[in-house]
Amino acid sequence: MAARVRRRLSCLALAGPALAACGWTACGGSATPARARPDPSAPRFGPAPGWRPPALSPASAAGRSLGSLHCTRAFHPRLRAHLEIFVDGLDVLIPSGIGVAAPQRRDGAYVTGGSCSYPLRTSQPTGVVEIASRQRPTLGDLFDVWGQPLSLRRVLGFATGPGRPLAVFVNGRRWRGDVRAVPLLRHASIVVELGRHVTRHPLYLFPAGQ
Amino acid sequence: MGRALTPISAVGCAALLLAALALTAPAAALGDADPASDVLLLQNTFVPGSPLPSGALTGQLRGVTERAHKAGFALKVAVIGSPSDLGAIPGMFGHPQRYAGFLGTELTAGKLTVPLLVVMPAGFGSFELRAAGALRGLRAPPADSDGLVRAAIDAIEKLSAAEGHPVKAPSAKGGGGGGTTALVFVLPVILLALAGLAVSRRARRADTGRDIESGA
Repeated sequence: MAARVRRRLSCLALAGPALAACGWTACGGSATPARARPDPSAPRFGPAPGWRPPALSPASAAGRSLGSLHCTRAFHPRLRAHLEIFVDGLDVLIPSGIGVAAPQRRDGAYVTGGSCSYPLRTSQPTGVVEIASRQRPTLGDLFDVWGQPLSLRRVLGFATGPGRPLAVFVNGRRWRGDVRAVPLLRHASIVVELGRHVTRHPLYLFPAGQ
Repeated sequence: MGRALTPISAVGCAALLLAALALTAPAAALGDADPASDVLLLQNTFVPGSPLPSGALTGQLRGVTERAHKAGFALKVAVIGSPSDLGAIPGMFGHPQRYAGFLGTELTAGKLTVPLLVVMPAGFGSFELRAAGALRGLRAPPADSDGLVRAAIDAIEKLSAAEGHPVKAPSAKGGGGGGTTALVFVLPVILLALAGLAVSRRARRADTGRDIESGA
C-alpha cells in the first residue's frame, strides 16, 4: 500500500513541475496578464508577391466568359466554402475580389461590388468563397476564375517537386483524387499545402445563417 | 526500497508525463483561418461579422484608429463578437489575451511587430502595447457588437492618452447606435408623459365643464 502511494507520488513529482509551468505561462487559462507573448504556434504570412497573388486575371477583370463560367450582374450566394493555401509552411493571402470584374468597389479589405460577378467569388480576404452556381463547382473552377494555375505540378506561381510535395485536405481528411476536382460543397474546409506540412484546424466555423 | 514500477504503472506515469509536456511545449505551427489576421494585414480594424455593428460605430472605430496612427500611435484593433469571428480557432473565444498573442504573432513580419488591441465580451487583450496597463481600469465590454465596438473606441482613447498621443473618436455620422439605444429608453418615457398630460387636461376640462354645469 505504502509502495503504491510512493509510486503515485513519484509519478506526480515528475509531471507536477511541468503542469505548474503550464499554469505559470497561462497556457489555456483565461487569466489576463499585462501583455501577451508571441505564440510559436501561430502561422506566418508569406511575402508579396508570391504569397499575395492578385485577385484578377486580364480575362476575369474584363468579365469575359471562362468556359462555362459567365460573369453576370446578379449574384446570390447559395453556399460558402473555405480555402487555405500554404507554401513552404507560409500562409498565402487569398485576396478579396476573386470573380468580381473591374472596376471593383472596395471598402478597406473588402470588395463590395464590381461590374459583374462570376458564380464563384470572394468578397473578403479570409479564404471564404461565395458560390452562386447551381452546378457542382470545383476547386479547379475557382482557380480558373482567379486566373491562377492549379495542377499536380503547379499551384499559383509555385512549382511542385521532390522537396515540395502537394497535399490537399478536405475537412481535415487527405484528398487523394485530382486536385482540380475537389468539390466546393457547403461549408467545406479545404487546405492546399505545398512543401512543409502545417498542422491544420480541421473545420472552419462559419457565421450563423451562412 | 519500494518495488520497481510495474509495466502498467510505468505506462500510466509516462502518459501523464507526456500529457504534461504536451501542455507546456510550444505547439506546432497551426494553419491560420482566423479572419481577423487576413483583414488586419490590409486595414487596421476588424469588427464582428455577425451581427455586424452599426455603420456609424464602425466608422468611428476606423476614424479613431486612423487619428491614433496620425498622432504617432500605430495600432491594429480586432473586435471579436462570437466564436465564428475566429474561423478555425473558435476555442480562443473568451481568451482575449491568448488570442492577442496568437494574432500578434501572425501579423508580425520579420522584426516588425504590430501593437494590437483585442476586444471580446470576456475582456481586453493586447500585444506589444506599452500602455496596456491603461486597459485595467476599463469595465468589461458588453456582449453585443455595437457595445464591443464602443468599448474598443473607449479603449483606444485611453491607450492613446497613456501613450502620450491623446486622440478622440470622431463624432458619429447620422446619430449612430448610441442615439438609437437612447431613443429606445427615452421615447416610452416621453409618450407616457404626453399621455399623462392628455389625461390630466381632459380631467381638468371635465371638471371645468362640471363647474360650469353646476354654476348654470
